[in-house]
Parts: sequence; structure tokens; C-alpha cells
Amino acid sequence: MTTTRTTTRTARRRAAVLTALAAAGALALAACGAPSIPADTPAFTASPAAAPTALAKPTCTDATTSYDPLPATSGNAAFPGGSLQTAIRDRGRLVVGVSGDSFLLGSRDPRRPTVFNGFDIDLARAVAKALSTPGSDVKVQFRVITAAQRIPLVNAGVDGGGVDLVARNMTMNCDRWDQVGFSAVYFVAKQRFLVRTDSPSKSLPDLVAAQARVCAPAGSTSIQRMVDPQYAGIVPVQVDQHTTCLALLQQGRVDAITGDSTVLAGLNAQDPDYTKVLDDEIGEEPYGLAVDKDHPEFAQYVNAVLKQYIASGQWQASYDKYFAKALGAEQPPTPQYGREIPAS
Amino acid sequence: MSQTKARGKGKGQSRGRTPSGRPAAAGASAVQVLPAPGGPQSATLAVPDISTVGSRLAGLLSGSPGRLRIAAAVSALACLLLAVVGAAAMQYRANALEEARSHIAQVVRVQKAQADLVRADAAVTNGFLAGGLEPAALTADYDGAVAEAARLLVDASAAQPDDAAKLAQANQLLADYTRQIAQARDNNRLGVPLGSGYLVLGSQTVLRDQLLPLLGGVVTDNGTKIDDAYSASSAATWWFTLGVLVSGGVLVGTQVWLARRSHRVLNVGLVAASAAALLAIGSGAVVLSSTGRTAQDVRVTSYAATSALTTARAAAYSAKGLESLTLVKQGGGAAYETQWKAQAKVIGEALDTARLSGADVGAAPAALEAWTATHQTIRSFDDGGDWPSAVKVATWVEGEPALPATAKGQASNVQFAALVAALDPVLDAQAAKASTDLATPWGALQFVGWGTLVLGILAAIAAVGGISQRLGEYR
Repeated sequence: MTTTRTTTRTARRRAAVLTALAAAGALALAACGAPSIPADTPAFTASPAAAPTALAKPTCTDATTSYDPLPATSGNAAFPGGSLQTAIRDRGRLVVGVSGDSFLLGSRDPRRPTVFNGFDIDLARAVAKALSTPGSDVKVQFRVITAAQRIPLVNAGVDGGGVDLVARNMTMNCDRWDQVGFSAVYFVAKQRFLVRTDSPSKSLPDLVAAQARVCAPAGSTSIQRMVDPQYAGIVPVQVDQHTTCLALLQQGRVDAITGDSTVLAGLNAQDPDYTKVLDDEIGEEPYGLAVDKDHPEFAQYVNAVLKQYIASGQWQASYDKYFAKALGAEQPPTPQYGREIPAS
Repeated sequence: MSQTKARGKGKGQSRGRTPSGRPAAAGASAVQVLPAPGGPQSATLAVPDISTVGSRLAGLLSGSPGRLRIAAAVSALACLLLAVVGAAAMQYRANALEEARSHIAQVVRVQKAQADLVRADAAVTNGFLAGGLEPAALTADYDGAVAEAARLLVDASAAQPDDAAKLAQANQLLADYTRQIAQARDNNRLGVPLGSGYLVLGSQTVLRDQLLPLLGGVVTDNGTKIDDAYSASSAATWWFTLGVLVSGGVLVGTQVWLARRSHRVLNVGLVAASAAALLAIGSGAVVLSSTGRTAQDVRVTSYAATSALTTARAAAYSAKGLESLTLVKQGGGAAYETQWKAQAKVIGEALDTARLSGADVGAAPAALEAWTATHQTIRSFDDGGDWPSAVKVATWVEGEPALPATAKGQASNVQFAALVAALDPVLDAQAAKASTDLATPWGALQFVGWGTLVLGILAAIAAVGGISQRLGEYR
């Protein structure tokens, strides 16, 4: 009897030691694996991701300057032969590369999988409408593409298995001007922060002081901007996409999400009662529509459409519909023209 | 003593049952050497008159009769050594094989749990593509697979307590997984993209990045223990050989010596002893080599095939889940397609291993090829911008409106079901075979083990008898 009891006790003690060892092991693992999602529940660690690198300085000052707009924008206006807009009009179909899951910018309607909605989508539709002539419509075909596919597909063109235009919250910057053509700026997004409504942090300095866990997609500009001495203390949490960040925020596994204001508005729309976008703005992301690098004339045409789109109040209507609730009032951007057309 | 008393307090019932004197007796018995009941041996021991014993011993061992007595004792000891070493070697082998069998069963159990988890994931990700109106059959499949996996984890924990710590962690992760999936499905019903965020947390972060590798660790741990058990099993052969050499050498030596001394070639007793020993050695050698061969065979045939087929099945379900995840991500699923390719490669290699291990994989390779072709169709639809057609091919089941003509009658769920239907019977047959094959040697080892013990004792008696006969000639 004594023996049995001693054995049970020893076994129990051994089990306790094992459990303790396992727990210590898990902690050690969590510590050295640099998980991108904090292990705040005992079993929950995330796939390791490399620490974000700081953002590189811009190498030019005219990243937001586009080509002069063409004078004629719609109706029967004739286009110069060989221009991309002529080809599109002849084809009767404008192929636009968009995002499939950026709520409010470009996303598939979950109940009607062929229908797309969002701010980028509205603008792409306006381009197709402008290309239409009274006798023949130019239909718009949306194609979901990834961020990495934007540049190769727009330069491939529709005949090469690509697209005519990219309307997928694409930031204009110096490097990209070397690879594609851009329209004028159609939206200036700011990097902002989304928190739960019960968050004690009411501002960016609060987040820094609280050493908040801030979530953003791995490798994104937003996470790179967090690597800066003035934000020291912030714990960057990298995941695959922003919707994953929202899932983590809802579960209390991160304290804030950072990203473009447009994206955060889309997240806020999915959880409007319990999340809010903070007022602090850091960094600007000027969005442009991308076209084939070898077809600046199409960018000129798109610029004319954009000018009309803003002047007619369509831009404002679209903004108010999608973003005003989460981001507050906003004026359309002032386009900057005058970029030299490259010799082809 | 005081501890005993303290323990006794408040336990009136158990104390009542125990006679008051018993704890003391039990405590004492641990240290006290009880006087053994009367017997010749203990009687000798009880009279420790060293001088008397010494002189009697010297008398017994002196001269020719003395040498004969020594020979008798040595032969008897050699036979008893054979009896003990032989029986122990058989028992040791039997235990080692039983140990190997239990760890093999654990590997099969844990791999099955892994397969059930990815089966659940394949069902839920495919259902996710349907939006809020998840097909009831897929939901039932998910629920069933999760329940089965949970049951297997508990079984595995009970079967091998050494794995309990990791399996407890696995259970925790399973709870986290089902939680993420539940939230993914809720958000999917509401039609918000957030659902896919939760799905990724469940299917990738929890299941593929953590839970499956954790269970993989349990499989590896048991693989090491199987190796250890097999090494232990071979050690039995060496012990047995050593026993045979020593006892055989002594028996032969004694007979040669006796033959020279007595000018008689044969001593009936010793010949009988040698025959018994030979029988024990022969049957031992036969059973050791045959069980050793069986164990090795199982390892490279039915067990290897079972393991490979389980891996193939798990990889197939994982790939099916990844196919759906790629579509859920709406063009952002390149990473899942990369994983799909890796899993498809695993399936192909595992099928090859199973075939090389003697399993008839039947229609499985052809079914894999057909499903791969369907997968390519889905990818070309999706990559070409026709997401709705890709989803249709990925989710279509019998009874739904017709597939797009461009799909050429391909439907992922149909072709995948054919692959699983081809794998399952082969896997079940191999798993059953592995279990039976490893259970068979146990009986033979037990029988021969006890037989060796009896034969060795008989040989010892015969050897003593034979030499006693010679000894009689001196009286």
C-alpha cells in the first residue's frame, strides 16, 4: 500500500516536472523563434517572420507628377492611331487588375461572386464609361491580382495575358515610375492606426508609451515605418494580410493595426461597433492608376477622365459612400501634371 | 510510524478494515529477514560452524570422487545457466517486440489524428468557398473528423504516457483551431472578408504551423523508441549466443574429461543432458532467428507501407485544403499553391515507398494523376481571372447544376473522393497486417522461453544423475 502511494506520488512529481519543462521549452521556443504573433495564450505562437526593415528614403521629388491630360475625354473623340485607348475601344472591353478582398477599395461581393465594389472599382468603371461611344459600350472586366502581379501584368498588356489598367491601391513612388506609367494621384491615403473601442490608447504616443503590439502585413510599407527610433517600444506583429490582423485584434492578441487609412476603413466597416481609427497620421501613400510603361498616352487619357471625375463630383460621392464614416471628411487631391513623356 | 498514524486519522472506514497490528507488520517486513521455513539449505546455513563445513567440503572434493563431484556441479550449473539465459533471452525479445509494437501502434494512431485534422480542414475550407450556405455534408464531415482527431489524441495520451505532455499541448491547439474556424464560418455567413482572416489563422497559423508539426514530433519520438526496441531485440540474440557457448562448452568439456578418465565413451546422463541442451539451443536459435526476421520484415513491409500510406492520405487531405485556401485568398493565395505542390510531391513519393514496401497501391497513382489534372484546371481558371469557374470546379458535387463546359467534366471533390477511396482500403489492409504480424512472434517466444527453462533444468538433473552413476563406482 505504502509502495503504491509512493510510486503514484513519484509519478505525479515526474509529470509535474515534465509539464514544467514543456512549458519552459515552449517559452524558450517562443522567445528565440521571434514569433510574429505574441504567445499570449500558452499554446499560441505564430510562424516566425523576419524582423521588419526600416523604410528606404525616396530617391526623387516628383513621384506624384504625371503626364498632361489629353484634351478630349469621352464621346466620339478620336484617339491617335496605335494608342492603347483605341485598342481598348476596338476590343470593347477594358481589363482592370483589382484587389479581391480589400473591403471598400476593391472586393468581390460575397453573395454575387462576379460583382465587385469599392472606391477603386468606381474609378475603373468611370474609365470604361468614358471609353464607350454612343454606338458601342466598352465593358469593364475585373481581374483579381496580387500586389506582386501589378507591374508585370500591366506591362504585359491584355494580348500578353495581362491587364490594361491597375486600380489596386498602388502607391506612386520613384522606383515604380521606372517600371510603369501612372495616372495623376487619385487618392492620398495616410498611414493610420485602428484600435478596439475599449483601448486605453487614444493616440499614437499612447500606443508607443504602452509598448503596443501593432499588426500589419509582413514586408508592408506600414510595418517598415514602425522601425524608427521615435516609435521605439512598439512591438511589430507581422502576418499575411490585414484581415488576419483584424481577427487578432478582435481576439485581443494585438493592440492595434496599422496601414493605409483606406484599408483601415475597410476593416472598421467589418467591425464598426467595436473598432475605431485613431486621428494620428504618419506618412502619405499617394495612389495612382498604373498603365503600361510603353503607353503613356493611355495615362494621359486616364488623367483626363480623372479630372472630369473629380470636377463632376463623382469622386466626392464615391469617397463619402465608402470612407467618410470611418475617416472623416476629405477633399479630392490636386493633380500634378508636367511629367515629360518618355521617347518610345 | 507517526506518519502512518497521521494518515490513518479521519479514515475511520479504511482503518476499521485494517487490523490494528498490520501497519507495523507491513513496515517491519520491508527490512526484517524472516526465518525461512525449514529446509536442507537453510538448515545448513543455520549451523555456521566454519571449521566443520570446511573440513567436510575438503573431504568431499578430494581425490577422484571429489573431482567427479565438482564435474557434476559444474555441468548442472552450466545447464541451469542455459535454462535461465535462454528463457530470459526469449522473454527479453518478446518484451522488446511488444515495446516496438506499442510504439508502432502509437505512430499509426498519431498519424491518423494528423490525417483527421487535415480532413476536417479540407472539409471546412471547401465549405467556406460556398459562402454562408455551407453544404451540410461538409459540415458533418468537419465535425466528424474533429471528433475523431480529439478521440485519437486522448487514446494516444493514454497509450503512451511519455507523449502526454505534447499531446496535451496538441489538445489545446485543437481547441484554438476549432475556435478560429468557428469565427471564420460566422464571419463568412455575414459576408465580410474578415472570415478569411480567421480561416488563415486556423488553417495555417494554428493547424499547419503548430499543431501538425507538434504531432510530427510525437511521431518522431516514437520512431526513436521503435529503433531502441529493435536494438534491444537484437541484443537478445547476443545474450543467448553467449549462454550457449558457455554452457555448451562446459557440457562438452565435461564429457571429454569423463571419457578420458573412465575409459568409457558415453555417459547416459550427460548424453541425455546434452540432448536436452541441444534441443533447447536449437529451438531457441530457430525461434530467435525467425522472430527477428519477422520483426525486420514487418518493419520494412507492412509497417513501412502503413506509415507511407498514412502520410500519403494526410498529405492528400492537406493539399485539398490548400486548394480551397488558394481560392479563398482571391488571387493572393500563391503561398498556398506552393504548399499544394509540396504536398502533391509528398503523396507521390509516399505512394512509391508504399509500393516498394510491398503494398498494392492499386488505382491510387492514377487517381492522384486525375485529381492533379483537375487541380491544374482550377488553377488555370483562377490565374486567368475566372475565379467563379475555378470555385465551381473546386466545390462541385453530384446533383448540382452543370459545370462550365471548359472544365471538361472535371470536379475536384469527385476526383479527390476517388483518390481517397483508392487509398483507404490499401491503408486499412496494411495497418491490420502490421499489427497481426508483430503480434505473432510473442506466442512462439513465450512457448520456447518456458520450454528452454524446463529443458535446462531437466538437463541439469540428467547431468547430475549421470555423474552420480560414475561416482557410485567408487563406493
